[in-house]
Formats: sequence, C-alpha cells, structure tokens
Amino acid sequence: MKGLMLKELYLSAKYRIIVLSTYGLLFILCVLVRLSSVYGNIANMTGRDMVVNSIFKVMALGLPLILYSSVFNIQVLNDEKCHFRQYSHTLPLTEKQIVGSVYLLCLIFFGIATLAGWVNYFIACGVYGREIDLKYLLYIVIIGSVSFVVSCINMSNAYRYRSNKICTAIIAVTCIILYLGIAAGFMGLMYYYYKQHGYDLFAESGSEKEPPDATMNDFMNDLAANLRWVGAHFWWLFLLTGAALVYLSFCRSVKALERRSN
Amino acid sequence: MYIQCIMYISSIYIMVITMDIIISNSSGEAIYEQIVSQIKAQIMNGTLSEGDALPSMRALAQSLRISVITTKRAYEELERDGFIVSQTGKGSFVKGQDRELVREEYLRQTEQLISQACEKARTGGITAAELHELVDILYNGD
Amino acid sequence: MADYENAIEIKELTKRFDGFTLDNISFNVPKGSIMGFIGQNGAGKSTTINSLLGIIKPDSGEMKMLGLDARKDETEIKRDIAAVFDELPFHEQLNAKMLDKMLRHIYPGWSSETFFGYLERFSLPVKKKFGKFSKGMKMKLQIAAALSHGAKLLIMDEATTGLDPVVRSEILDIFMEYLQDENNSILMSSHITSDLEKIADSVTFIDRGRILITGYKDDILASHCIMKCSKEDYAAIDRNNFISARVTDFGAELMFSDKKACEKKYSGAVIDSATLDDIMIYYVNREKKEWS
Repeated sequence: MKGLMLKELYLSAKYRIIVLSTYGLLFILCVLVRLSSVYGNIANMTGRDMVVNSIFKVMALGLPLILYSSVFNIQVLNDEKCHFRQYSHTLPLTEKQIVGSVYLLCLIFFGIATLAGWVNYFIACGVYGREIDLKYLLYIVIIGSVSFVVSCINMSNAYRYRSNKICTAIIAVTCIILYLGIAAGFMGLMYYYYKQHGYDLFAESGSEKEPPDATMNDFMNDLAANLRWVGAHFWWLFLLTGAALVYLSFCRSVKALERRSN
Repeated sequence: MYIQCIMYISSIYIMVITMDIIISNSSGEAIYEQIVSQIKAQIMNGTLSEGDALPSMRALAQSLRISVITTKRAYEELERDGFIVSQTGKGSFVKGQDRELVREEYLRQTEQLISQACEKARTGGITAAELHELVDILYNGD
Repeated sequence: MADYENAIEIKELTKRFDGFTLDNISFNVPKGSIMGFIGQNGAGKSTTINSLLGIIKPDSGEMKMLGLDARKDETEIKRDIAAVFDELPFHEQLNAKMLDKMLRHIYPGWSSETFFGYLERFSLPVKKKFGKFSKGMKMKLQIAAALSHGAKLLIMDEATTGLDPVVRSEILDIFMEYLQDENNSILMSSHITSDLEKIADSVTFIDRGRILITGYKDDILASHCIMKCSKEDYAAIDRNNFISARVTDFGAELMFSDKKACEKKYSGAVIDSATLDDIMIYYVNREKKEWS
C-alpha cells in the first residue's frame, strides 16, 4: 500500500505545482492590493474597504483548497488510460488496499493543504494588519473537509464510470443543480423573511409593500446568525454525514474495482 | 543474482567441454536425432572421453535455441543406447565401458573393409604407398 | 508453497460475452516449461489470460496457478507471478527509479539490485520518463520489472508483438535464461509463431474461443504434414481424412494430422513438414475445408 501511495505522490507532482502556484499568485495579488490600498491608486476610493475586505477573505479562507477536489479524480482516470488498472490486478494487493492508498493520500493532501491555509491566514493578517480571529481557522478546516468529501465522491465516480466525459458531465450537472437549488432556496428564504416583516419581494416600485434597502442587510445578518446557530448545535450531524459519504464512496470505489474491466 | 549464478555455472560447463553441436533446420532429420548422432560421433572419435560431463539439458536447449523437450529426448536416447549415463541432481556423463565395445566393433568392421580394399588394390596393381595416400585424402578431405 | 506438477491448470473455463464465447477451455502448463499460446487476433488469448489473472471474472471453470486455487489464494499467488502486457502499464511521468521505490514496497521478494542489473544490461536509462521510451525499451522495462521479484511464473500477453527481430531475439534469450531454473515456467501468448517454433516446449492453439490442439510442440510439428497433389488426385480423397485443403489452379495442398499414416497411404506424393504458421492457417479454415 505504501508503494501505491508513493506512486500517487509522484504522479501528483504536476498538480501540486499548479496549486502551489495558484496560492503564490493569489498571495502576490493580495499584497499588491494591500499596498495599493494604502499607498497607491485606490487609497482614496470610496469602495476601498469593501474591496480590501473581499480580497482579504479570499486569501484568508484558502479557497484554492477547492481546486484539490478534482486532482485525485484526474489521477484515477489517468490510471485507467495507461492500463495501470489492469496491471494493478496482477499485484499481490487486495482492492481495498489499492483504493485505500489513493484515498489515504488524498486525506493527507487535504490535511497539509488545510495547514497551508492556516499559514496563509496568518500571513494575510500580518500583511493586512488585522487581528487573528480563530473563527477563520475553523472556516478553513470546514472548507477543507467539504472539499475532501467532494473529492472522495468524484473519485468514486471515476472508478465507477472510468471515462473523463462522464465524470465531467456529472460534475457539471451537479454544479448546475446545486447552483439553481441554492439560488432558489435563497430567494425563497428572502421572500419568506420579507413576508414576515410585511414586505413583498415582488412588489412594484413605489408601492406600499416595497422593502427598503436596509432590509437586505438585516436579512443577511439574520441569515448569518441562523447559520451560526445551526452550525453550533448540529455540527456533529454534518461531521457524521461527511464521514458516511467518505465511507460510502470508498465502498463504491472498491466495488467498482472488483467488478473488473471487460 | 540467482539467475546470473546459473548463467555463470552453465557457461563454465560449456567451456570445459569444447563440444560443437551444429543443427540444420533444413536437413530433414529431426533435431533430436542430429544431436544424438553428433554426440555419438564425438564419443566415438574420442572428442568426448569417459566421465566427461555433458552440458545440462536446459543449458544445451538455451544455447541451441531449441526446446528442452528436444534435448531431453536426445539425452534419453543416448542413455538408452548406452552412450551416456544420467544422474538426477548431478547431470549426464559419458559412459566408458560400452564405448570400447562399440569401438571394437567399428574397428573390426573397418579392418574388414580395408582388407577388401587391399585385395582390390593388389588386383589392380595399386601400390601400398598409393593406397596410403588415398586413405589420407579420403580420411582428411571431403 | 505446496509442491505442484503444473504451473497452470485450467479446466473448463467458460465466459460469455456479446458475440464471443470462451468455450470450455482446458489446458495445463507443466512446471519448468514454456508454453506458446497461439491464435488469431480475437481468438480468445487475451480473454483467457485475463480470466486467469482475475482481471475478468469467468462464468464457470476451475483455474489453478502454482498449485493453488486462482481465486481463493489470489493474493498469495500474485507474489510469485509476473505479468507482461503488450502496452506499458505505467504512467508516462514515472521513471525507473520511482518504479523501483514503488515496487519495493509491494512485492516482498523485490530486489533492487536485480532490477537495476537488468536495466544496465538492457541499457535502459534510470532517470528518463517512461513516456520517452521506445517500444522496445518499454517491453524490456516490463520484463526487467517482471523478473526482479523472484516470480516463478511469467505470463505474457502478446509481449513481442510490434518489436523488431533484434529486440525479440534478445528477449527470447532472456526467457531461456529464466528457464534455466527448473522451477520457473512461462506462458506466452503470441501470434508471431516463429518465436515459439524455436523455443516453446508445448503449444496450445485457440481459435474462436475453443482449444484446437494442445501438446508438446515437437510432437505436433512431427505429426502434421502438408501433402501436395494434383486436382484429380485431390478429388479422390475422402473429405474426412484431412484438416483442410488449399486448392489453386495448379494443384491442391492438404494438411494431415498424422504424418506416418499419410506417408503410408499416399507414398510417392510430395509430403512436406508443416510449420506452426501452416498449422494455424489450415486449422482456421477447417470448416471451410476448401480454400485458396
């Protein structure tokens, strides 16, 4: 198993470089923005703080982590392309070991990436002159774990369907459904919230029931507060679901490998 | 490394016995028969002496690029005809005793043929010296 | 490991696909020998080998390797066997050094010394990526990896196809060397019969999913013959006596499976010995009976 992990390590070298350079570029961008916000062009812009805030958030939360989700997917598909899968059946390893080595390396990767995200955050705080807020560390871990779970599901798809086209199609369709779902859900919540306060979201301008602009901010704060409440009380549920998804995708991958190629 | 040892040992075998075996793919004679007759000839003319170790069946097969089954069959026939003796684990060795007998037999037959030739020569007026020369040419030439 | 007589035993292996069936395949590969597995493209060679290695699950049949059941003791068997395929199964970005590190942890009997020894012998670069290797180099690399963990059984699926004669000759030499240890056996599938004609001990012939002949190569070659005669003579011969006949405007060539009987019956006719190529061609046309 260690041997196969080494192989994954060697092969992912290309991708590690891509992701690391993304981090690097982002870092440079952030520093530049900070510098220009203090000394340069946008120092006296009205929306300056908002821009700086957003850039800071992007850098701090280590969004490149999400890039990792598709890396291992590609690795598994590459295996298929070069007939390594066929060869791996002649090795004295069980299917569990073969699949396990990929998943384990994936987990280690995300662990290291999360730590890198923390380091990133500390540097960001230093560059932007902010205080370290431990909550952000937690957010980074959450993003890392979600990416890991998504990665596992991607990998099980790769094992099962063995074709780049199908896997990409699945990802595309899932993204569209999620996007539409979240947008619809968001709109629905907003509508409900406005209704509660006596406003109608779809009222014409100038009518009585038109919501004032400030309501939007209230709604967002309310939503954030609700989410935090759910997170504080049901975090164990999310953890359990995540672990179950990882385990299920592992089993699915092993089964797909056992099914043998035709 | 194990394989290299085997190679080394089997190459020593081939060095010790400077044996030439030449196989013709187009002669019509089965390959194992060619091996049998060539080894027999070498035992008869003294190239191989009693107790000499023959190359292992596998080493011979490797050098001649033929199947082990073929060399095995050749050795089995040689053993059946009393020319060699095979000991599992040790190898195959040239057998001494019978060779003498067969050689005696060949000697006797050759003597007979030569006396016939001498008769003919005397009748035809051919001198002993001419006969000697003829024997030299025929034996060494061709 | 148990003592065994046959390195491979296949009994009544059957596997059904759409449009192709492996039908009751049975043959044995004796320990210490090399068996040539011949057949046309698509005859079922790769399917049989894949079933043996567990890459494909058969519908029915028993398979044994090195004396152990091929399914139950799969992991144990695979420590002592090596498979070589016609395409390099390693990623292009890997190189020999990485491969060594990988396989060292997978095979208990792996010897890096042996592996690098072979690489040197084949003049293969150690740090070059596999993507840059030529076809011959890729095959030699696979063989180097296959011979470096003490495998007792080598299974090769069309390993020499597509290689030039010089490289093929080198590879055959290596196989003969491997066989010097009588515990080692080789199963080699190929449609390049000239390789097998020389060094194979036994031969198994598969056509359209069925085994036609299996036995010692010398026996098979000695017992088959091609008789050449005129078209009138050909017309007089009973159709059931021969395997198939190639009929042209200038005569007929028939293949018989019993040379001695043929020589007795048709003494005076031109009787040639058959090569493995001939045997393949005549047998493939056995149902047509007459072809040209």
